[in-house]
Amino acid sequence: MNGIENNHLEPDTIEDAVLGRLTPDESSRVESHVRVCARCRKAMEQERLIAAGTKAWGRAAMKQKLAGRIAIAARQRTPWPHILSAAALLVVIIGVGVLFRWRSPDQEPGTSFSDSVFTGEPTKDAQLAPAPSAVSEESARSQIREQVSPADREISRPDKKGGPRTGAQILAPGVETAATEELEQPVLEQQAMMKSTATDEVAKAPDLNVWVEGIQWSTPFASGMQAQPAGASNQGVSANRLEARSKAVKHEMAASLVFIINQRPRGELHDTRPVGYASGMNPAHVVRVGDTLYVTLYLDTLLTPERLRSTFGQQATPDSFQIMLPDRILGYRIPGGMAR
Amino acid sequence: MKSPLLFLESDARLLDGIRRGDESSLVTLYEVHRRPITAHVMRNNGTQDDADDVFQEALIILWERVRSGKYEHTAALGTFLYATARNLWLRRLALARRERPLDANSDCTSSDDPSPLEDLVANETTTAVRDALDKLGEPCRSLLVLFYWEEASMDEIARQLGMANAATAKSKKYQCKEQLKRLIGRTTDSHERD
Repeated sequence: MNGIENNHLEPDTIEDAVLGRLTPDESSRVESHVRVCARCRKAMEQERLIAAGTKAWGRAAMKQKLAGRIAIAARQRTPWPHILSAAALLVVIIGVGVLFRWRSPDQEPGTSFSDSVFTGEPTKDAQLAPAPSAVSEESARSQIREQVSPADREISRPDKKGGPRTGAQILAPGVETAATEELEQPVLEQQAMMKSTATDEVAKAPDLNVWVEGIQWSTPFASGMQAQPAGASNQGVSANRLEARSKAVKHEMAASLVFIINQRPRGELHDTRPVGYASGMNPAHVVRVGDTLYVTLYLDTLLTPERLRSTFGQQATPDSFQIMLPDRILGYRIPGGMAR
Repeated sequence: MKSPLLFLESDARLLDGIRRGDESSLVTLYEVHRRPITAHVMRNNGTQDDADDVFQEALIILWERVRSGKYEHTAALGTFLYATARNLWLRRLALARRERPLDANSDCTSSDDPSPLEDLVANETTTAVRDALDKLGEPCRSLLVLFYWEEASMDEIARQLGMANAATAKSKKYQCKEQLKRLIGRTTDSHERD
């Protein structure tokens, strides 16, 4: 076929030429003819126009269809990145929680991890005997400061020469008695008092051999473990009887006790000046603010954080309290006027 | 939507799908290869939308070539798509540069590129055909699209459109083209009156 009929290109030939389906020979014959045939040239232009326009229309329609299908596919796509991100976040949260649990020194046996970490609910201790918040501690210190005269304050200035601190300085981690001459607190003690759970500080203390401070506090008879009256034992005492005994003496006692256990190298203990009742080489320092007794205890031996964790105190009678160390019990009398 | 393990789909299977007219093969290719292309476009002053746009155009070019039998499977489909999308994006960037006022010393246009006036005329005539196709009813529109865009044979067109045979399809094609020419004439006239 030469594609020419009646001196003009056949429609099929024009289509094939526009669509590039001709052989080189056929293509060159068509081009030669178009140069001399105006009608064929016009038909060829029109064919090109239709082909180009139809292709463009086809592409646009296909593109629209494809975009729609892609959008549907994207909606149906499993959001693996989001799922993996959420899973990773969950693993991190659990990991941090486990780490926190592992490092937390004062978790009571039986206190669930979720109770103490995730829910934000107070732990058993906190529910029974709310810890004095930083605000209330600050308030307590303010009350004490107001009770002390400016002259007393002058006396209580710390040694500016940086020499050995006096016993009063050591004795006063935010807890002063009326008899205390010291008001200014050693910096370390001030920082420590800002912590509501100083047992955490015990675990984190980098300089364990120099300074460890732990705070344990309790409400008398609030907890079976911490609220035994002196000489009493949970063994053979029913819960009802213990409760009845608690009610009988509770009104006579402080609403709460705060124990601050300071451990210092033996060499510094001679500087401590016990106020209230001293027990051998473990002087204690007591102050009452409102219904709370603040007890600062100076131990003659260093306790590891683990042993300190098992140390607690309780008010035994209206005028005495005990500190239960892992290997011994220290008894103290609450200074006169502080007990109800 | 196919299995999420899209990368296990072989190129050959996808090419077969395109040859059969299975558009989901394009969606599969999009899912598998969109990331590197998106990254390339976005590294070169493009947006996510730009990346999607050029990649879809690249997919359509692949579709055209495979359907018309002009595609030579000499490289992986991903390589072909990446190269095509990259060229499309570079062309768009060059076009955008050309549309901005040029410095006197600037010489960034090639003599082979169509002039803006040629682009305009080509776009206008193409638009007239597209408008006419919008008005053209079925099955004429599908028939012409299959014939000119997908370059399908008359047998294939007859099969896809449910016609008796290639001769019937060819006869129908003639009628459709005549109808389209009339519509183009009307469209052009109305544009000139506007």
